[in-house]
Amino acid sequence: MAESKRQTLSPGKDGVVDRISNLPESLLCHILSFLPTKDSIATSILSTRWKLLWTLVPKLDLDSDTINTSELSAAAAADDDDDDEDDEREIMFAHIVSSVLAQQECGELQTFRLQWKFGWDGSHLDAWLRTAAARKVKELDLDIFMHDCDVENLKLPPSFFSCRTLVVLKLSGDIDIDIDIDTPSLSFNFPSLKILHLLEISLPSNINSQEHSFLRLFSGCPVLEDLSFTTDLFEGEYKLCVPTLKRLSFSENVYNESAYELEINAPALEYFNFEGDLRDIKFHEKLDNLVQANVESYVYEDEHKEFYREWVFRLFTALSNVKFLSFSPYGTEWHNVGNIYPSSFQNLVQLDFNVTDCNWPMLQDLLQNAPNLETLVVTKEYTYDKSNLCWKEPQYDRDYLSSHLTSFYYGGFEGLKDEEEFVKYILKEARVLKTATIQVYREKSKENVLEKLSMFPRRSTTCLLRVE
Amino acid sequence: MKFCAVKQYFDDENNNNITSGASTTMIPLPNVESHPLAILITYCKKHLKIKANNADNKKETEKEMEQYEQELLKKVMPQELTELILAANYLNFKEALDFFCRAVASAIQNKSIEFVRKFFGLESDFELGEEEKLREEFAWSFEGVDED
Repeated sequence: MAESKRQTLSPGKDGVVDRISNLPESLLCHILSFLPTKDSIATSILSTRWKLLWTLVPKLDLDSDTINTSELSAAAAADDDDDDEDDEREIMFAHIVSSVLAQQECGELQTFRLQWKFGWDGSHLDAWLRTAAARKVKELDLDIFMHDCDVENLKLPPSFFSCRTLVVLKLSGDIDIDIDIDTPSLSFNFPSLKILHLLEISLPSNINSQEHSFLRLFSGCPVLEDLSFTTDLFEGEYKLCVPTLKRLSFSENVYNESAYELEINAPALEYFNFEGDLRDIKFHEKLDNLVQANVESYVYEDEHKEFYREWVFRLFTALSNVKFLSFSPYGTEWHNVGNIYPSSFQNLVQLDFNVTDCNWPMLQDLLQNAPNLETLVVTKEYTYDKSNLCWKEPQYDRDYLSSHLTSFYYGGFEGLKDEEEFVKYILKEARVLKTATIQVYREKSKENVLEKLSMFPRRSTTCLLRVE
Repeated sequence: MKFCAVKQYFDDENNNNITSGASTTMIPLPNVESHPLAILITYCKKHLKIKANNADNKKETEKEMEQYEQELLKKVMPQELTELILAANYLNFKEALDFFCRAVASAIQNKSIEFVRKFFGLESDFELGEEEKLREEFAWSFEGVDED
C-alpha cells in the first residue's frame, strides 16, 4: 500500500521498535495534555526530543498529595516530627507550582487545576492566579483543604477576580466565596463562564449578605449554562435567576432539620438533579425544555411533615414535561404524602424508580400518570422490613402500559409475594413489551425464579424474559 | 460529518462544479493506512448509532459509548495507537483523536520511565550526566509510580 511512504522504523538495539517518534510535536503534546503535570514532566527524561515537550503543554494540573520525595520522608522519619514534614512539603509544593508556571513556554494557559492541602500560607495563590489571568486561563479548578479546621477558610485573592477569560470554574473545599459587595473590582464578573461547580463550599453564612452574594454570583455570569453545587449546610432563602441555564445540579450532603427556601428562575433548563432533604423548592414556571430529571429526596417524620405534600406537588408541577425521570423517594413519610402528581407526564419515556418498603404507592401512582412510558427500570435494595411492601393493582387502570412499554427491568428481586404480583401485572398489561429482565438478589436461585415467572401470562407475543 | 477532512473534500468538489451525483465517490486519502481507517470508520458509525438510539438521553449515550470504547481498547495493540492517532488527526476526527490520545496517556500514567521507554520503544540519547541532572531537578515527578 503505502509502504514506501512510511518511515522505516528500524529496530534499535535489543530489537526495540520506536512506535512513537513519527508523531509530530503537536500530537505528542496533545497526548501529554491528558496527563497530570507530574507525569508530563517525567517524560522529559525519555529522550532529548522529549526534554522540553512538557513546557509546550498549556495546562497545569498538580496535586499536593502526589508530591513526595524519599528525601522528605527520610528526613521526617529521622526527626519524628509530622509538623515539620507537612511544612517542608508545603514549601516544596509551592516552589514546584511557581517553577512550573515559570518554565512553561506556551503563552496561553488552557487549564489551571490545583489540589492543595495546606496549613498556613495561602498567599501564593494570588501570584499564581495573576499569572494564570495574564495567560488567559480558560479552566480553573481549585480543590483546597486546610489541615487545621480552626483556621478561617481561604479567601479568594484579588487576582482570582481578574481571570476574566474563564469558561469553566470549579471550586471545592475550604474556600470562602463571600464576596465583598463594597469593592466593585472584587466582583464576580466572568463574561465567558459557561460551567460553574461549587462543591462542598460553605455558602455565605451571614443571612443578610446571602442574597447579595448569591445573586451577584450569577448576575456576573451572563452566559452560564451549567451550575452545580453541593453543600453541608443549607439554611435560609436563596434566589437563583439564570435565564441561560441548561443544567442545574444541587445536592445537600447532610441530613439536618434546617429549613431552606430555594427559588429558581431558569426557564431554559434541560437537566435537573436534586439530592437531599426535600424542602421548599419553587420554580418560576413549568420547565418546557426539560429533558432529564433526577430526584433523590428524603422525607422524614419531622417538623416539616405537613409541608411535604405541597412541596412535592410543586416540584413535580415544574418537572412534568420531562422525558427521562429518575426518582428515588427515601425516608419514612412518602406513603403519607398521598397523590402528588399534579398532571400526567405526557413526555415521559423512561422512568428509573428506586423502590423501598415505604414508597410503592408512589410508583403505582406514577405509572398511572405516564401514558407514553417506553422503558421502566425499578431497583430495590434489600428489604429489611418486609411488612410494608405492598403492591396493589390499581382499581381504575388507565391501561397506559399496554400501548408503549417495550422494556422492563427489575433489580433486587427477592421473590416476595408483592414483587411477584408486580411483575405479573407488568407482564399481563404490557402489550408491546419486548424485554423483561429480572435481576435476582444474590441469595436467590436464578433457575427457580425464571421457572416461576415464565408461568405468568404475557400479553405481549414478542416478550423475552431474562433472569440474571 | 465527523471526518472533517472528507467534508472539506466534498465542499471543494462542489465549489469546482465537478459532478457530485455519484453515490460512490473515490476520495484519495494518501496519508491513511487502510487498517486504521477501517477502525475509525467503525468507531464513527458506532458513535452515531449510539447517539441515534438514545435520542436525548445523554447519560445513556455516554455510558454505552464508554462500554464500547473499553471493548475497543482491548482489541487494539499499542503499536496501532500511533497509526490511529495519525489517521484521526489527518481526517480531522476530533472525538477519535482525543480518545486514542487519552488511551496512550492512560497507558503511561503513573508508570516508571523504564516502562514508558519500553512502551514507546524509545532509547535514551542523552549526553553523559544530562539525564542525571534532569532526574535531580524533577526528582518529585519520578516518585510514587506503580511497580513495573
